Amino acid sequence: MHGIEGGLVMSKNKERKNIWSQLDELPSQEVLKLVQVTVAVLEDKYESTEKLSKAPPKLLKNVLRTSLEQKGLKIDNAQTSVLIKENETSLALSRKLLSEIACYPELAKEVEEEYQKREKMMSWELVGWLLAGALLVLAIKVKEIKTKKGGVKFFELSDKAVAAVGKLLGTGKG
Amino acid sequence: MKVTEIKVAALVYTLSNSKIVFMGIDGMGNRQFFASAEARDLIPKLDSLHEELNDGVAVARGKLPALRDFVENWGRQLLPPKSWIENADVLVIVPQGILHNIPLHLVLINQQPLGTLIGITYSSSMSLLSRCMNRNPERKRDLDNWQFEEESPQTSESKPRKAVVGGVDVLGSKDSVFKGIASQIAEYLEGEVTDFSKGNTEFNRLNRYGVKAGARANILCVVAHGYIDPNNQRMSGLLLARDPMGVRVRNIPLHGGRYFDFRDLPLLHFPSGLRKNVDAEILTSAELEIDTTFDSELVLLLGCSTATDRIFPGDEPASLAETFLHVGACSVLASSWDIDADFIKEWSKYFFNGWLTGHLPKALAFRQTMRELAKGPWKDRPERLGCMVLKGDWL
Repeated sequence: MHGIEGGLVMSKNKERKNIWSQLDELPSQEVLKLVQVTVAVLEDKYESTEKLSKAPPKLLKNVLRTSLEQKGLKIDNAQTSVLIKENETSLALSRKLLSEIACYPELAKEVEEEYQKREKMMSWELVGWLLAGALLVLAIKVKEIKTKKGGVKFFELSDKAVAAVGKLLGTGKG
Repeated sequence: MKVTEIKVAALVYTLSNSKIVFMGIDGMGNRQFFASAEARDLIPKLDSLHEELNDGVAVARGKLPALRDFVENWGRQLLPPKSWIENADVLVIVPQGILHNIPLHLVLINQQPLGTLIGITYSSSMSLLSRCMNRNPERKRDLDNWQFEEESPQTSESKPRKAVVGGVDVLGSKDSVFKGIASQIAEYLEGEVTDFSKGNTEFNRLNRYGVKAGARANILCVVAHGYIDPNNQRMSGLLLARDPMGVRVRNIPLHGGRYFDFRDLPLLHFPSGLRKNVDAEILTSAELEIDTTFDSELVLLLGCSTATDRIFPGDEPASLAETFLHVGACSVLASSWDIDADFIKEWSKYFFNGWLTGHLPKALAFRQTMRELAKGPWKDRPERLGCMVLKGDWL
């Protein structure tokens, strides 16, 4: 359950599992949709003028590399590209980051609610894996999240996110 | 009220160097020019609004600050005074350039969305509107005898109509949702209804031939995804199931009275990069234009952003709704941005009730639908309330 209590299940229908408990089985496109919604929710909470979800690839790559460097992990251009393209590495990283986010029950509940709203839409969209990079940057940069009740909770994904990147790319750190 | 007593006004927009200018033509044919604030102030706002409405996640979440700002504040600059609007029952809006796909029907006038005050239809040009009106069979009947009561509609039996209805989601996992919406609409219709949403076999999926069969029907209802080719409008189209009978044969007449059999393949391969979950193909605008002239008095396109108007050179909107108007439909109802399945079920209930059993002209059935929905939980959800638009003839 990735640290999420059963109470998070939105529906009383017991057959409907919450999305977080299925992370490992979700197909890559569904993972990407969940990443997309998570990025949108985190962007609301991260008071910054830059919208990472709308950033062009070159800018996002620069922001991503700089953010990792500031945390002591140097990666080259090719490695940065691996993180934002469709492949096993970006998928594994997204799953890892989402499973960590699932450990924050209030945030996880909000993301799931938004995901369910998205699911009700009769739409399709070509979502790019660039968003996996945006999620990574947000995981590193966001330090605290405001709750709906007006409180503030610490959000400590930074080190875990950097460690996950290091491990997946086979670099020293992590 | 008699149909012949309906007062129809029009607003025709033009972008000048400094202002957005719009000409109002009232029900008596009088012309009056209005000007918005400075175009240089409005154009960045219009750009932001377009961008926001194309953001599927923002629409799903209902977090659309630019839309709210437009609806509550600056959108008013693009409309004439309330006194002018109040003199009409139906308003034809002819946008230009950046104004295509701007939901003027949502702008609040005395806290009420414009679309609840007046029946609205959009048309990309006056000439297209004129063609849509000329071909509408409803206009050939005795209009003096067409009466309706809008406030308390007399719900008599609807006129039997020939209809083709179907739903298919070839990309995602919402096939049953799409079919459910299509079959709900099929239930409202009286007459010869071909329903592609019954059953769950490959023969019950809407395909190219099903849509083309709709050309001879009074009503065509397609619940499917649209695809907009970013470079070539003619290659945009509907994403449909592949015909389970395989490739059909098309007879093409040649010189000397001879015929040649060609394989009837779609004009475009299924767009690469899209992952289909069933055998699927695309019915392009070009194929529709080659093959088919629609007689439909109403085409209903329910899917994602079927009325989204990307603009090609020459101010030609590139939406599927526009394509259907070009190939003969009198009116099209389509969505301007992503739509919510729950909302659209409720929307179609009110619209078909007003149009079919209340015998309201389409634009007034549309107004009635917005009024009813604005009373309920959708009142403060402009992104839901305003997603559908009527294009073409208002009658």
